[in-house]
Amino acid sequence: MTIREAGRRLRDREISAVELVRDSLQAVERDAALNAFITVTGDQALRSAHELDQELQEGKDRGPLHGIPIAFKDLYYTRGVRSTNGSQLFADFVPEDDATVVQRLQTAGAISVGKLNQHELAYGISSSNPWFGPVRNPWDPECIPGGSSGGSGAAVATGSIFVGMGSDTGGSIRNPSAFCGTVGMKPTFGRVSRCGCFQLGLTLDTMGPLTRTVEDAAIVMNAITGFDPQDDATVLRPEEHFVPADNVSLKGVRLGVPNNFYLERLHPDVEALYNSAMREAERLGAEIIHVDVPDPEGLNLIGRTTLLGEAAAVMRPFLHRRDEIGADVRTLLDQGTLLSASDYINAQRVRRAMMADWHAMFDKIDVLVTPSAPVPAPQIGQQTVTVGGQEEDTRLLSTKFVRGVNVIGLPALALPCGLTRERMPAGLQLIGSAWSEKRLFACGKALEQALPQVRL
Amino acid sequence: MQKPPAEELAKAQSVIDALRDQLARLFDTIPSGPNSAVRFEPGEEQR
Repeated sequence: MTIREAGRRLRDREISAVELVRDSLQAVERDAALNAFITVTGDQALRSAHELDQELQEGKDRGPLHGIPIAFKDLYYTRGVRSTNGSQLFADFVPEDDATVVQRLQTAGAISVGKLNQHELAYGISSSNPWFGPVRNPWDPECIPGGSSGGSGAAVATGSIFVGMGSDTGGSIRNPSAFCGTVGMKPTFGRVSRCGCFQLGLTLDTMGPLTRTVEDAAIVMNAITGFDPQDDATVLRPEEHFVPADNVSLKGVRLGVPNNFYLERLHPDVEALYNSAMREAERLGAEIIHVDVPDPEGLNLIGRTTLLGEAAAVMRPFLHRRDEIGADVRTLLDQGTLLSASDYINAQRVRRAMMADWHAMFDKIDVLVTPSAPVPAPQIGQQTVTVGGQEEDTRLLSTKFVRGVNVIGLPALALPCGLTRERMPAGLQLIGSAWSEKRLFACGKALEQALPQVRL
Repeated sequence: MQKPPAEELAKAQSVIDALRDQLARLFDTIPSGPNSAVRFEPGEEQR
């Protein structure tokens, strides 16, 4: 069921918010083995649902998210509900305030049923959390769901919630979307407030939704975007409506297909599904333009360097508590502390030049289309993956196509494009120029309508 | 501050050394003009 369908049924009195929340809580219990949740707030959710049902009966309608069950990655501060950031360091942290995004979604009538499991400190992609247990991929429980918003991807894919709010610093919304077969929106840096969210990469962090459809993600973006005086990266911009029309078209849209990097050494099924999607896009009237993408490999290096430095700076007050940080994250934090100031600063100088090159690329195309990940979800505990005859680190390979986007600050929409022969999802990534989320949603919806449905 | 054990530190240092080697080709391309000023937030130029 989509948010629009649930909304129609709520307003036609075919179902109540209480029933939607009960269904959601039952599904969370049914799927407990996936370990997608750290905390379930069933009683609180049911109380909210009663109030929101009452409001609808009295004629107060908060809009499309009224009465819709959702959940937040555990790095969002939620007032009175512990918010751990997937870390032992914050295992007992109970915020006194909600994050701005949490407030905005509550105002829009969404109902949180709990807090989602994630990679520790949002610093990794396996979501095999050493303190709260590994999140499992609903398509194959022996596989990772991706991360760091792994609980969000798993819970949305099973249908237990309509929306899993995530965060994306180097692909942490788009990677679980790719591995779990969901839609994920990583907004333009500054589009969505980060206030009240644990930080990781100060110039890279973005907040956004994982959903089952493009329209659902657009509905969430309508509720959460906009200036926030408490986050100096956000900007005053004219209000935008992101939900695409039903008859949206790709006619005349200039879709960029990369000549370099993104189509080299892919899992054969991922490659076949990507090529099939692009043929479909052309059939739908898109203009396919082959482009040289400015140094994606260099961009990833700048992304790694930036994040290593920023995460070590953010976590500096906690670095003496080594025993309370898992081995993989501790290793990355150690690396970050060894990075020199000149390395970090020179990386920012290169970053400036790369931004200009990327912005220039968008004079020639409207949207760059890449696979979301070169391979389907690896197994839990798998340290390396061999693709195209080359063995690569699982984390670096999984984030290879998504990490650089955060360096430039651009928006990107991940959506599923089919299943591999082993019935694992593969996805597309649509990257647009700054503030072009509306166009990405329109293109995404047009493609979604034409591509094979990916549903458990 | 608690220091990492020597073995873990050496491993981290080797990763950073390798990263530095890779970064060198990029740092060689940095233009010397005033446009190379440091700006940290990618949102800035998109406003």
